[in-house]
Amino acid sequence: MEEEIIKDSIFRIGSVTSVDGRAIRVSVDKAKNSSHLLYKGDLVKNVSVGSYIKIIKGFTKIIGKVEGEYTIEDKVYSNKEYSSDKEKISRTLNISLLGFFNKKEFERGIKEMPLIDNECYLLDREEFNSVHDFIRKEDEPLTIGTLTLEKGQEIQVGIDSLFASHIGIFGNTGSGKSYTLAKIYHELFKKYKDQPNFQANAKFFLLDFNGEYVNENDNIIVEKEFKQIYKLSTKANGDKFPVSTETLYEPSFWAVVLEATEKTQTPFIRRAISNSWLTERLNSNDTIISLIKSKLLLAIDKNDKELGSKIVIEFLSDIENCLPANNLSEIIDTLRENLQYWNQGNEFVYIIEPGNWKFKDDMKQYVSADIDTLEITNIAFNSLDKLKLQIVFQYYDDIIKGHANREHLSPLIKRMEKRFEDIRKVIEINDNINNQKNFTIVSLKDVNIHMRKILPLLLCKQLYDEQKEKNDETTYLNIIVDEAHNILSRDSDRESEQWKDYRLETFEEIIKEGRKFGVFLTIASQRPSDISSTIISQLHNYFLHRLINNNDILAVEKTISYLDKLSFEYLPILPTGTCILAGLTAQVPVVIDIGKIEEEHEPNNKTRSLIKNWK
Amino acid sequence: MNENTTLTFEEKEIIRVSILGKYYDTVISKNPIIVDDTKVEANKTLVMDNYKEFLVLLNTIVLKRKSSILNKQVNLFTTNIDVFFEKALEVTQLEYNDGFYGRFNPVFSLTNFKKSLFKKSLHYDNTSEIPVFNLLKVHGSLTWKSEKEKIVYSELKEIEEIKSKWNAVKTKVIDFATTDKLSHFITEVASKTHDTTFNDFLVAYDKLAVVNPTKEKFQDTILNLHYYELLRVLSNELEKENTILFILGFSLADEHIREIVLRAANSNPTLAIKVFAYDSAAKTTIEENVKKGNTTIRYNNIDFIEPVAPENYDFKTINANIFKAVLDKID
Repeated sequence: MEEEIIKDSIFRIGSVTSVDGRAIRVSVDKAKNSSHLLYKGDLVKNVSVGSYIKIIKGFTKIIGKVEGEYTIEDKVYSNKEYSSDKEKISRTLNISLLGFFNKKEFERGIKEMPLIDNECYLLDREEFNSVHDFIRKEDEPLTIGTLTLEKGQEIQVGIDSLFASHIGIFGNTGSGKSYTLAKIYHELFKKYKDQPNFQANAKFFLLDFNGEYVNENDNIIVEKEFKQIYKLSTKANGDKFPVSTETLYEPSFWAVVLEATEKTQTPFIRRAISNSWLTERLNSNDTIISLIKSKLLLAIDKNDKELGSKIVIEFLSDIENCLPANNLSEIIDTLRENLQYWNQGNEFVYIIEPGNWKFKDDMKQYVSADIDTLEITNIAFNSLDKLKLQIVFQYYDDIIKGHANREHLSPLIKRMEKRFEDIRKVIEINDNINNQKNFTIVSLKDVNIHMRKILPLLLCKQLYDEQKEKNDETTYLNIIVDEAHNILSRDSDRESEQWKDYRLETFEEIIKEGRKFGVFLTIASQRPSDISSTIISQLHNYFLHRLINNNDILAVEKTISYLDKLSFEYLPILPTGTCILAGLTAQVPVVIDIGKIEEEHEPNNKTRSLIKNWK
Repeated sequence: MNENTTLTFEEKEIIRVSILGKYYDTVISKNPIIVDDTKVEANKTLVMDNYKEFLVLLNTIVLKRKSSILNKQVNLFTTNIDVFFEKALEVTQLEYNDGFYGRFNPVFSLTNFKKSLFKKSLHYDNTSEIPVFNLLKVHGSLTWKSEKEKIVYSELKEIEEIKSKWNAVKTKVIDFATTDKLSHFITEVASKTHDTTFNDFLVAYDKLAVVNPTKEKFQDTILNLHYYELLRVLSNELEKENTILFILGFSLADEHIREIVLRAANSNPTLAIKVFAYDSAAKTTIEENVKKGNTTIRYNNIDFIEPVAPENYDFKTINANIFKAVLDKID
């Protein structure tokens, strides 16, 4: 009893003076103007903006957050000769209501409003913990940091409520995004990496645009042995990411890679890739050679003035580029010299030597004989080359037969060479991808700009489709994209509308439908305003670091409904390593200091010290 | 002393002189050296440096706490009767209050404590409070001298007087170097003869207004108004809200002080007490001393702080590890 009275006198901070709609005002007792109180050997923070108070109305405990305070100097006391400094200031607090205590448990939402003169108290440790206890009963806790405003108060989030959700981590460069990202997954792995079920069922896929999560010893986030790392490169020899044949034979993907126009080029690609007749014939050297011969003879047979002998040479050169090792160049040289288009006769002619011309069937025989000398070194060339060959065959087939206009398709074929070259450097076809490890990191640091756009899409789509196909309850896939504005940006002038739509649709589908198949996205970005608002608004949990750009702040304000006014105003002034956690997992948005990661598991994203390098 | 043993008045006086003489030798006689700047001693300088460091650190911490609603006074309660604090405060030129008022015949009174000092800035006439140390010597001080029911300021002249009287009896009393147990003490008494010089010593000694390490210690503190009042100040200060008490070099063995501290701790949950132990053995001793008190600790507001071995918490390390660290954190 006595203790209750003592406690009340220490924790009471004032009483309600006005209730105006949802805005509550509290006048603070004059004895409670100091910044901290001592209670039972603990330091308790006194009321200030951002802290919580408890308003007692009968037996109901209503919890509110202090959103503002202002002070009036008490003239009566100030003018007195004999006074105490404590008495000079009258503080008034603006409170917004958050929730209430129901059977010792905190619940969000308001059922009752306070009355004038209701007493207000600070929260004691137990109540404070219960407001910040974000763990649902059947959930497991994961400690990710401490409260910024209450030193030493650890913040735990529920593993289910955080990781079975799409997570967004936003903040300017240098505000600690990558660290936060590394921290939450580091903690998760620390807890689960040795669990056999986790190892079997959970997959994490991290797209790393800047190489922040790979280094020499590769222990970032989690020890090397738990990870599969691909350091892709379009320059030197890098790792190659395994891709299934199925993904490769996806016409819409190639339409995008080759920037095909919608009207003519895309249908062509579709035609080329789904041409199973062609595909079959590309499986053995003999059939390829006979295919080449038949196409060549077809071209010659057409005797098309427009195409002339040029088409034969071009056709063979393109084929040459697709095959790994061959003697086609010799054949091309021979044909270039000998096979001519005779304008007067409107037909092809084979010139064995000056004056010795062969026409019609004779000519064909000579050509066939030349082609027969073709030897393809028996290297099983990979599906990529095969696919390319298939497109080339289809192209010449279409042109020779007159199904397609050459002017329409040739730009596509020209682009193809470079694109295939890039793609070949970073992926390999492997139909039995048997990855035992939970965590895959793909570093795109050394990949050129074009591939940076294409690869994430290719990889994510493949993973998503695989997971979608499995469609079981136990497996889990988390696609983590750092610097997500690289691939999720809403407006980009460099790329075509079609490509953009395809790109966004893919990720929007993951974010909208992924949950059903156990696919979740974690995106980190410094430009939330750049990212499609559909994606931002579908995220469930947010870690918001310092944001300075007005557009970014507005984007966050518009799309994140979990954020209160005060947290929102914190955004531009958050220090590095401090962020606001808001969303499903937190009952109230809280400002937290992200905890430390052991040095060897830290991402390598240190801000550079100029002075150290210059002295 | 054993109640069953009956001692004559003379024998009691011999014992009393022996104890006070020893106290004089070990604690009191060296104090004039503390004040005398012409006498340089390595030990003295070391101790004095610790005191100075301590005061300067506290002064800076209080000065840096910019809060108009809290005063800038630091209360130093000490059971020491020596003049290290006074000298250190003087040397460091910090403002302090030892309870005396006046220049010619300074008189001690409790009402002289708790004065705030304000200073005006030279240029804008802005006023600001400056930190003040209240030096509360609960066992009296060598700067105290009782004179006609009053305590007046002593310039340590009495110590010289006692010295001559002590030298006269020194050889005639029990020597602590050979005797440390009480039983020996009693047998030893018989071999000593009593004479009038003993009384001379006691008369000179009694001019000192300090609590002596004799059995009358507690009577002294309770009966004597001033000691009692100082303990009341301690008690009052500990009852205030958001008070912190640092205990250095004091094991809470003194039961009258321990009771006050524990009572305050148990009635004031906003009080924080930090007790520094010399080492982990000392920590155990202090914790046992606290348990001897009649009350249990209800609010968990007493912290026993032991050093990380092999370090020991002497005055110097506490200054460096605790108060300096606090200041560094503020900066």
